[in-house]
Amino acid sequence: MTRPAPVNVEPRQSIAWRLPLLVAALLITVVGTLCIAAYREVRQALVTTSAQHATDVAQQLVSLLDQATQAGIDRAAALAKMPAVAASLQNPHAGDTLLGRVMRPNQNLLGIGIRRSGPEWLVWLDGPAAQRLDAQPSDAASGTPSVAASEQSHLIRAPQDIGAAGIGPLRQAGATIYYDVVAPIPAAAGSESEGWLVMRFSLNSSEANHRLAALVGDSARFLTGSSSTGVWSDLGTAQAAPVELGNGRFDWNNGAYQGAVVGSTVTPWQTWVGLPEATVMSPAVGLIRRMSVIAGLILLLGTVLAVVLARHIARPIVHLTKAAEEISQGHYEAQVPVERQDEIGRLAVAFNRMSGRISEATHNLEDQVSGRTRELKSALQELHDAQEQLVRREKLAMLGQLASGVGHELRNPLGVMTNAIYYLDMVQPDAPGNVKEYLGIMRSQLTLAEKIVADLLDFSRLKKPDRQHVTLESVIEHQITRVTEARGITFARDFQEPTPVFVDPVQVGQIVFNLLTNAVQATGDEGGTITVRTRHDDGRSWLEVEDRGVGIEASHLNKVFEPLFTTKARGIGLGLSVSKSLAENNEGSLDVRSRQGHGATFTLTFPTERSA
Amino acid sequence: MTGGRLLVVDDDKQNVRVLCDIFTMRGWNTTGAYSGIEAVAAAQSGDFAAVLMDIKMPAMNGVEAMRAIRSRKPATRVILMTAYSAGELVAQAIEEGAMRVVPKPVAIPDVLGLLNNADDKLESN
Repeated sequence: MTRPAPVNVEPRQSIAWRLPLLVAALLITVVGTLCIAAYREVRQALVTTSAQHATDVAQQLVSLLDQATQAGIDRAAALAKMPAVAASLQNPHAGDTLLGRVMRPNQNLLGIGIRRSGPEWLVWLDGPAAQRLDAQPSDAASGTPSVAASEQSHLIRAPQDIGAAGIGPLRQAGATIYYDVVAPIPAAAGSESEGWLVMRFSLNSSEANHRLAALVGDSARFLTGSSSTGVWSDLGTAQAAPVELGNGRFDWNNGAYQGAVVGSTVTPWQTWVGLPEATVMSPAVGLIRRMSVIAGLILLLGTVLAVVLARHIARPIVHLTKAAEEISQGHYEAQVPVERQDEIGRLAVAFNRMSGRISEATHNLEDQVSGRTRELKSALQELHDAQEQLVRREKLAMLGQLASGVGHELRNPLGVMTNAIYYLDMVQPDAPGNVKEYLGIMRSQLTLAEKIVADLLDFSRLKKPDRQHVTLESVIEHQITRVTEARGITFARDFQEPTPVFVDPVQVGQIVFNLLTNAVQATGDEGGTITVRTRHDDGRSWLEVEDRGVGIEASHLNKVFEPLFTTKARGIGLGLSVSKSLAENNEGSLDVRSRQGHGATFTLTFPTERSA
Repeated sequence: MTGGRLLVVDDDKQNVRVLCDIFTMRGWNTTGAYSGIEAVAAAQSGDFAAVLMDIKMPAMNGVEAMRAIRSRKPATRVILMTAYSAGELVAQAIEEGAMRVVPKPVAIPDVLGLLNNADDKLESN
């Protein structure tokens, strides 16, 4: 029978591994999704808020700038209406005094100029800020700043709105950002020509820059500029502007910003306020960090719980599997611990009950099988014995017929020879010694031959025993007298109380005679002691004939009772066979035990007689 | 202890010869016969005190011969010899008046004892 190999679950296939993995994956998915969603929401809210904030700030800035520029426009308009200015159209320096006076307290004023429709300045006076205008090479001869050459475009707006002052886009000259405030000069009475008063202001004001920076906050950035000229400034210095400023996210100056652009109703300028994305999004980043920590904790806790749960589920299954494997390997008494009351606990109880039943059934079966095996062995042994006995009897029967014929026919010539010797003895009483000796030899050989014939005949006919109440001791004593002629041999009698048996004394006597004769022959010419022992107990009575002779080879022990088996130089090997048959004929048995070189002990056993 | 006439019968002639010589030496007047028929004839013609006869013989066995002899001369004592120690013939022989059935080989002193005792009894009678 081939036993199945133990079922080993690969660790990666086991529940204890897979369930925590599944739970961890589920937690990662859920928590991750939640985090991402929360992050997006927060980010969106932050973007919206920051855009609103930027717009608000930008509007405030625009409002401030509008107020400032409006003041300039008003002043320019008022100045343009003055007669001295109008007179300047005719007489270019008529208004110099006035303009100089106006200009003096205004630190941001680059200069004031008057002109007609053409590009030439009728009058140009440098203002207090002019010396800061590095890019403004002063033309001493004409008094006209070179910056005037780029002044064409700002007039585009003014002619459309004659009578109202206007403001131009931001322009740049070198590091200076400036803008022009233009007001129409009404024509003087009698004059057909009209012109414009231009006040040019510098926007390079670190003071304004600081103030506005304080307004928008440290981290925020702002720019004011004109799309038409592409000039942008933070009111302090010129700034490189992105290609397109607008609302929303921008990359600017190597930074990402959330910004808003607000236009002005007073100026053709736009103001952009940008909040650095890092600042805006820092709450979202903080949120995502905190959420990550929490998510990690949840993941860890969930996985640990899943591991514990999986072990809790897998352990009884592992026990059940091991027990099932043990049963499959023949250990039917395998049991599993019952640790709980749930479905798995009930499964364990049911499993234990099942294995108990299997074990019980197996033991019963084994008992039955071993019982039957014993019976079979015993029956086989009986059969074997019976067969052996049958074979032996058949062999004996055949042998008996032969022995009977031969024995009887031999008796006649033996008888004649015996009588002939008797006669010779009789007629030669004074025969020479050697003749007498030879006659003696013949006589003893004839006796031996007669003994052989007697054995043969005894062997051939097993008479029904004539059973009598006798003692083994009496039988033994009688037979010892028959073999006393043995030289140098003494018989030791080891008797206790008399041993009564119910047997044929002649037949048993013959057995004892055979045993004694054999013992004498085994002892040999050196002589020795032959012990004859009798014993009995409740069940049986026996006698033993023990010699210290040559003993019997182990391989011969089984054969000594077979007819025609002999190790003697003489004899036909019927004595022990006849003895055994005679013993069985008297409901007894004959056995031997021996060790070669240490003598032999024959035991003749009968049932103990139960005397009334 | 002198014997009378003794008829020794056996189909083994040498045995007859030896037995005759022995019993002659012991004072018997012996005659040998080699079959049952011869024995009956001899017994009829002679007057034998005893017959020592083998049972197993061809043509007429010892028991039949004894029966024939004793039918004419009932006083004749017959000792039968046999190589067989048991059998119907032995039982029959005893029943029909054989003095004794002795086993072969015959123990001469026993037979002599039987014959002499019988003589003593006869004489005392």
